[in-house]
Amino acid sequence: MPEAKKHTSKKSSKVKPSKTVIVTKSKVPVKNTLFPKKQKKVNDLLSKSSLLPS
Amino acid sequence: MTEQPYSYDKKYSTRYTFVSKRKHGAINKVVEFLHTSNKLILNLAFGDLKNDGTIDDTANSNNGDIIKVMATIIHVVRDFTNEYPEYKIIFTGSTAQRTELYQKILKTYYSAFNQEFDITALEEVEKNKYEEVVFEPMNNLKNYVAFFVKRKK
Repeated sequence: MPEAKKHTSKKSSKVKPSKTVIVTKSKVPVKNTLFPKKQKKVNDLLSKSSLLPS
Repeated sequence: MTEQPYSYDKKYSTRYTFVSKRKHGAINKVVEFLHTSNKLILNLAFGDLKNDGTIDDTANSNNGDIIKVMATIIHVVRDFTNEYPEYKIIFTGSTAQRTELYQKILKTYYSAFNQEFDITALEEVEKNKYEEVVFEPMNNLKNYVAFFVKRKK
């Protein structure tokens, strides 16, 4: 009787380096704001300042 | 600020509510910390919650309790920055008059605030160009457009 072939998967022992994704999630939760006008006003001010968006 | 604050509810970490109760009856107030285009800066917004669920942040409630309301907001800022001391909080008035009021309050209570917070301000240095500067409480010539507070380390 022929010997059953063993199915061996060729798994690479090397682990492909995963792409590093840096997630910079704010600790403060993002919620829908009740103050959209105020948010826009402050963002406008900041955009015209040296406090560049980071 | 020695005035006793109103007790407040924390709806979630960025939204607080309290009720102003004085001569014109009860007025629901909301204080919210909003994200800005700078991830290290949060915007403190404050206003009256209207019956339809929207906010009026230009209303002058004139409820006779401005000091108590401001004391409550300061307690809210303190509570929030206890949890998130790494954030800088920016606040500005909805009108120039209100920004001026905030400047007066900061000036009046500067020595107390300065023990807990680093206080800076946003100043228009030329047309449509703003810079963060040291807040000068005794300089009446300064017309700041916004203010920053950050918990001292």
